[in-house]
Amino acid sequence: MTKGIKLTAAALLVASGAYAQTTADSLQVLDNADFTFTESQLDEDNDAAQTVATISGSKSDPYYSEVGYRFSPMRFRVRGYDNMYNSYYMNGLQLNDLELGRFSYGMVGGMNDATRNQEGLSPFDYNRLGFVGIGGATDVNARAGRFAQGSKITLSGCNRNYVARGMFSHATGYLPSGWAFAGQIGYRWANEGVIEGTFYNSFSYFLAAEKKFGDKHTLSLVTFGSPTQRGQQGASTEEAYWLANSHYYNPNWGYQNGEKRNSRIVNDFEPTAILTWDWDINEKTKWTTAAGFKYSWYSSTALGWNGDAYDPRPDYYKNLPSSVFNVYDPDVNNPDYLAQHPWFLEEYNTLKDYWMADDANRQINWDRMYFVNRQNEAAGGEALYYQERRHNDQMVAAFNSVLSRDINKENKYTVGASFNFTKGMHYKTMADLLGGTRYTDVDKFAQNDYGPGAPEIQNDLRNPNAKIGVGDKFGYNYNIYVMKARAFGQYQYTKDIFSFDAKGYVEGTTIEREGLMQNGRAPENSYGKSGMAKFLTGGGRLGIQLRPNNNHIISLNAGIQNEAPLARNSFVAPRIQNNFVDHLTSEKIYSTELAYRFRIGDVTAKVAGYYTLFTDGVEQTAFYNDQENRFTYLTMSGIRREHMGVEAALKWDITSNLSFNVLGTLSDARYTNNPLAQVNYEGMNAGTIAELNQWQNPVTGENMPLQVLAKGMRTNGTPLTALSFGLNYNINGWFFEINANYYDRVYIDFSEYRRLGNIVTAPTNSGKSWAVVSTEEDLVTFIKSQDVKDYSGIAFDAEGNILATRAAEQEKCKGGWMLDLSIGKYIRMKKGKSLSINLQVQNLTNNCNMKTGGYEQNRDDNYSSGNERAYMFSKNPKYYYANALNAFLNIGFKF
Amino acid sequence: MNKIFSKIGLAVLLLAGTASLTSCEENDFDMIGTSSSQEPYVTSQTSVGEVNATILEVKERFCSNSATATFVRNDKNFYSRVDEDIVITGVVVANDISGNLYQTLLIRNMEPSGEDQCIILGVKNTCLYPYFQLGQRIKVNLKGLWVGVYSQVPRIGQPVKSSWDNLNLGPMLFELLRENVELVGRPDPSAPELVPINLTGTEGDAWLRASDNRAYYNTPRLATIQGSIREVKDANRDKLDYGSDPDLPETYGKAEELSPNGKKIFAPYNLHDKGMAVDRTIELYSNNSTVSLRTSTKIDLSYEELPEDGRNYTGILTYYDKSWQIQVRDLGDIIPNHP
Repeated sequence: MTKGIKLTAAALLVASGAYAQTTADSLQVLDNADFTFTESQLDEDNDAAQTVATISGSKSDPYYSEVGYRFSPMRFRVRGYDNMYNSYYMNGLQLNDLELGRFSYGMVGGMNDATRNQEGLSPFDYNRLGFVGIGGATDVNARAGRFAQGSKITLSGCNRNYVARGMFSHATGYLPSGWAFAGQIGYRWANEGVIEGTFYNSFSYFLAAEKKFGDKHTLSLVTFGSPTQRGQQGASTEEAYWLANSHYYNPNWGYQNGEKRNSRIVNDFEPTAILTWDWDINEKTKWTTAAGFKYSWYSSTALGWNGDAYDPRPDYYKNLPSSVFNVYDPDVNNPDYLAQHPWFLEEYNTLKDYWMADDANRQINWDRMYFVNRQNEAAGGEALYYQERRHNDQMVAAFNSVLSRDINKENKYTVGASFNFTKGMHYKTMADLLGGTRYTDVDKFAQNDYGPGAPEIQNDLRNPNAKIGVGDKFGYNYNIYVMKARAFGQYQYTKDIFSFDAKGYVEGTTIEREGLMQNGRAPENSYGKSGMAKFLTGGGRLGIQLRPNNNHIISLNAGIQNEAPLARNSFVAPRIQNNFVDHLTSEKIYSTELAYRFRIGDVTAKVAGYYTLFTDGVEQTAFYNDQENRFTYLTMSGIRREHMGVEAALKWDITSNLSFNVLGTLSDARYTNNPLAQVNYEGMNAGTIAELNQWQNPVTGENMPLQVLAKGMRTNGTPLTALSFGLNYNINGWFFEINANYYDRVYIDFSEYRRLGNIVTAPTNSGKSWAVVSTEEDLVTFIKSQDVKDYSGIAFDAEGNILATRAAEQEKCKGGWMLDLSIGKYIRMKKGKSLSINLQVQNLTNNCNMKTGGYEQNRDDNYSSGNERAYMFSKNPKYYYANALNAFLNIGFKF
Repeated sequence: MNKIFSKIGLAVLLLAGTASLTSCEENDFDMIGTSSSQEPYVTSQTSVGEVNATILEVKERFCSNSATATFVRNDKNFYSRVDEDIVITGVVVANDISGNLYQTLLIRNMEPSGEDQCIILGVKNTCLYPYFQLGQRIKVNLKGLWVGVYSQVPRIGQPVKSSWDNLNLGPMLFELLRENVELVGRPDPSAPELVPINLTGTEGDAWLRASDNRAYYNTPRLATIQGSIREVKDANRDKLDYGSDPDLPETYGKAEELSPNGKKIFAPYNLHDKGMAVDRTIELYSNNSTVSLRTSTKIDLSYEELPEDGRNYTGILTYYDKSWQIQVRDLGDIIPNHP
């Protein structure tokens, strides 16, 4: 924790000059970080790491103003879009991470008051920021002068990721000298969060200064950061949850010397500074220029193991009772068969009893790893188990300049330009040798494949067989450079009942990798620069709005744009080599939306329908491949997805202090083609990988382009159906709110690996997953068969042409209700002081069965012999569950 | 202004408290790190019972005749559940340290009567050697376990359905070590059981040739044989002309992998059989009988070049039908005849 203390101490020094602030109080405890995580990791952590993708707090839109917060317990994403399609601006500068596309909410964690002045923007809204993502934008105004004068102390207690929070803020308002200062410090803490084995330790600071120069110029500087250390939760299978008797079982921790130790710990600190110059050229013309700098440290730990060391994950499938016999096979799982083969049930019960006897039995066994390491070293070997720290550091310099002019009452425009340079630094270090003292930097899986003396085993041929100690870099080390420059413009024309919007942009993007190690599996293309991939992209949106009177607004919007691929998806195996993925091209997005907003009497409402088509998308998943025992990248290109749906919001002010509201969406978001696929294993050289990427037509024997059978798969990890009914009541400073929320059609993440063409048609799958059919009837019979439902299927004609494909069924989680309640009291005191107390209870009925998502395991059900395993990976996805009954008490005192 | 500074003071106090709390979880364990000496008790911490049977008695009862077995797949694979407290003892004389033996411990006991017997204890886990070092005496209570033969080799374990869909006597669950297995004392590197049975020379060759010796009471055993590997002189082979197995398409028809020096190695992956291992042929010095040398693929040993001269090979000696087979424990088991 030395580093953590240093960071905290450094922040303390910075913050000691802070002034604090007061902002308008609010009943809502609007803090995404309270409910969600944010990560900068590879896909293996994605499901635990989703942030709520929404444009929060849109003041003018009754749907957007509520939906993000209301549905956050289920990790709702607006329209099923990935977070990368949402833009996040602060003081005129976009803060999305160029490598991942997403905004990291960890940057502003615990800064509720500092980021409270925010506005949500739909993608089609006229704005003064720029051309925002198709998912809309959040615009935070954190200029010091915008905070109301005064101080505030906030104390919170909850049973979520953290259990206690303290915040202090102060703002001076504009002083006679033209200066304004504001600041906030906070701390969030949990020795153990609501999920067993997790912890939370986060300090946050926010400092802002603003100076007016005359009537026209204002300079604003903000700097903020939130050094955080936290233990992570991991997903597990339904069987493990059953054995642990909890849907909140966390396999990431274990006892060491009697204390709980988490194996996956995130350290995150993203100090950021933004300097903004606002120039009010005249009453109609404003020019805002912002420049920012960020240097972030992000790391997460994970266990590693070598040689014949047994997989240390407690929920490793071989540890589970269902690994003994195929419990899903009625030919095996029946009384007669089990009576004839009594050992199956005996062994099953042995493992079941072992799991259930003691919580230590179902958690990581740290002592065992230490013991094995010591014994192995005593035998002349080296550490077999270790804990590695994967770093994703980043340096960002960004600039945005926007000129907006209201020409007259009818015409206005905004033009601007932005630039962003991002350097991502990716490497891993040895976090802990777990009782060992020696470790050599070679790839142990490659050693099995190529032999102990082969050059392929070296992770860095320039430093072969490097001896690694705690803190040393090993395995991989590379930088990713991304540059993005954009020019954009918007124009709005308003005349009587009619309004017309047009906006467009043109953008240039470059992506480059710089390898700092020469990897033995890719000696010619791992060290040095990859060369630049360059993309020239652009797009535009048009919108028409009819406003027959102030109570009715109809708008029709449409857009077309293409976007450069993300850097994180652009390299076939970024940890190893410089090669770009094949078919790397920009993604095209076609979007349209029709919306109607009205006010009739005491009822305000909005109904909207939308359709968005994404084509030529590129997605990469990176995962530890249990089938091949090595880290694997699987890239899909040429992806085509459709998102469509209906959104509605209604609010009925029954009386002046009682209102009823309804909110909901019914949507769909699915893949509509079978994208091209490219697979890369870290432990293999180019020749072996080329073989793995071959897909032979099982009828003709000829090679075909490798594809993933993804057609029909849904976007995962968000409810595609979400409905909410709420009541609000306030009287004499008391506030009551109750919401009943219904969620359905949450799909889990499908395994692309299990749906790879050459896996589906592998000889081990023969008879299950592909067939030559000659009649329409045979085709229908085959495609509808249970095997195809379970394992995917491809129907060929006699000449080897593909007649039809069907992806293995993707699991849809059961829907259900959750009830949320909020009670608050606002007490106005003398001399402008006030006290606000708010208790928020989520999931009042303690519905512990709501899955927020999950993912299939990347392994098929057969041995290489073609025979079925006892353990059915296809039947055992890993899930995340929404929090059980939880409460958040917040007390704020303004003075 | 004083008011402002008093608020700053409050902030500093809050932060000071924060800093003291920030010394958190993760690296406390870094400090524990190398000093953590707690042994993970994977075996029973209480007595599993007094020894009341010899290995030979167990083999006679459960491994000699399929007719009395609980489950019979064929006359080379049968096994029975032990329902009573039968406790045996032995010294671990072979383990999985090199990876060549998989989920396997060889237990040997030398009785005062002169009885010298071995049996395999299969345990479902990789990396057994840290817990079961050579020379470690153990006691095994067989109650609840299964005993029988797997491919004619006596062993203790539990039945399992193999990747080839056969019901064989596989390894016992690792979790059952806590109930059925007890460590006795510390490992003794000088235990007499660690001295292999010497089957070198013409006398040893004759013993191996004698068909009467292919019996359950002679298998498995820790032994040393002497000879040279036939394949060193043979042409390179591939799966099509030797050991081909169309059920293994990923290796079918591929040429034998050689060492970087162009020499043959113990276990090239593309020659592997269903057991993911490669058999080489040791020609004994008498030159008219052979023993199979079986080596797992994808371990360091498998990439070692085949010795061109004669060697002593020590390992687990077993037979199948009319053939003897030996599996070495690690590279140290292969030594020149005339050092």
